[in-house]
Amino acid sequence: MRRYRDIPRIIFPLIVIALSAQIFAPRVPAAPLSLTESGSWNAGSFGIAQLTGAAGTNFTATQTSSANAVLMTIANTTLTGWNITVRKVDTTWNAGLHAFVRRTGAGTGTGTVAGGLTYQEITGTDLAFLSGTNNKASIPLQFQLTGLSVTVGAGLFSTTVFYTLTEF
Amino acid sequence: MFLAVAGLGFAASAQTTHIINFQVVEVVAVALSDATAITLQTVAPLVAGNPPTGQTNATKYLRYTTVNAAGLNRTVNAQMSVAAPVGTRLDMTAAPVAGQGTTAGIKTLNNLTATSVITTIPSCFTGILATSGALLTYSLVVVTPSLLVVSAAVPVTITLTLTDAA
Repeated sequence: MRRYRDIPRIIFPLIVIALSAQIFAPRVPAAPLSLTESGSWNAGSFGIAQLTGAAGTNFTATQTSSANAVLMTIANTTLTGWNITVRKVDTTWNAGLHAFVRRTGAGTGTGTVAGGLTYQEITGTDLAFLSGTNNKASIPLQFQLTGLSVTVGAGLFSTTVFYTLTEF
Repeated sequence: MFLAVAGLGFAASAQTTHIINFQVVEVVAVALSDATAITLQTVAPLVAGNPPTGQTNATKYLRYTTVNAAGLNRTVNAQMSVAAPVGTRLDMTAAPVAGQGTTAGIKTLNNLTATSVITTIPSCFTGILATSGALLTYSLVVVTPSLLVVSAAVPVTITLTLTDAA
């Protein structure tokens, strides 16, 4: 029959074993923070049919996408809030062309989203665009292109827009 | 302690991208501000003994919109449908504004070959206001007064061509 003073000698190893199991047990990683979007914006092809009139005229300088050209989704958030910056990296572009983005809705989900309701230019530098909390799905984005002119010359113009989501 | 560490949050980030693109194709569009006919006549000298002269007209503007591939330019050529009446020639000057090509200066037109009157036209548009475009000046020049003969008007069509980019 064990004496009561032996009880700590038995329990302590059990505690150690339990903690070790907690520490070294295989852990299922949480799904990583996710920022995705669907869609893109092809502003179209511009030729003689897109001139504003007869010979001597130009293209319409400002082109606008549909209100939901891109749908953005933020998922697997775990912290207090998040923000999103936006920038672009040009493949073939022209200095006279300017790209803008804005949010036209709040999307769906339990989270919140703020900012981005007016057009802001997308430049080569990360600029604050949206902020919010928790998960949001299908935030609709609209784009605008200004400075379009025949003077840009013929060619395919392309720029890649980068969105960076950071939790805090 | 383990539980305390597990409860701390670490800033995480994620990134996504999409493309914005569009295409501009070549455009060649040319028109006159006014395509009505003009009449140029020889003019008798004010002083007997001087040679007759010819009239000049500078009322028309050539309007154009061009989109060229990178590094290429266009040219405007002019050609008459028939030769100028005997004893005369037809001179032409096309004067674009800056950025819309380079004038070739005063050029004598003929009906055998096209003559370049504006060169080095980049991707540009002239506009369509009343005085937008390259001002065209036509001058009937008396070359050999002794060959002049009285005649009815000789219709001459001037064809202005905006060339392919080169």
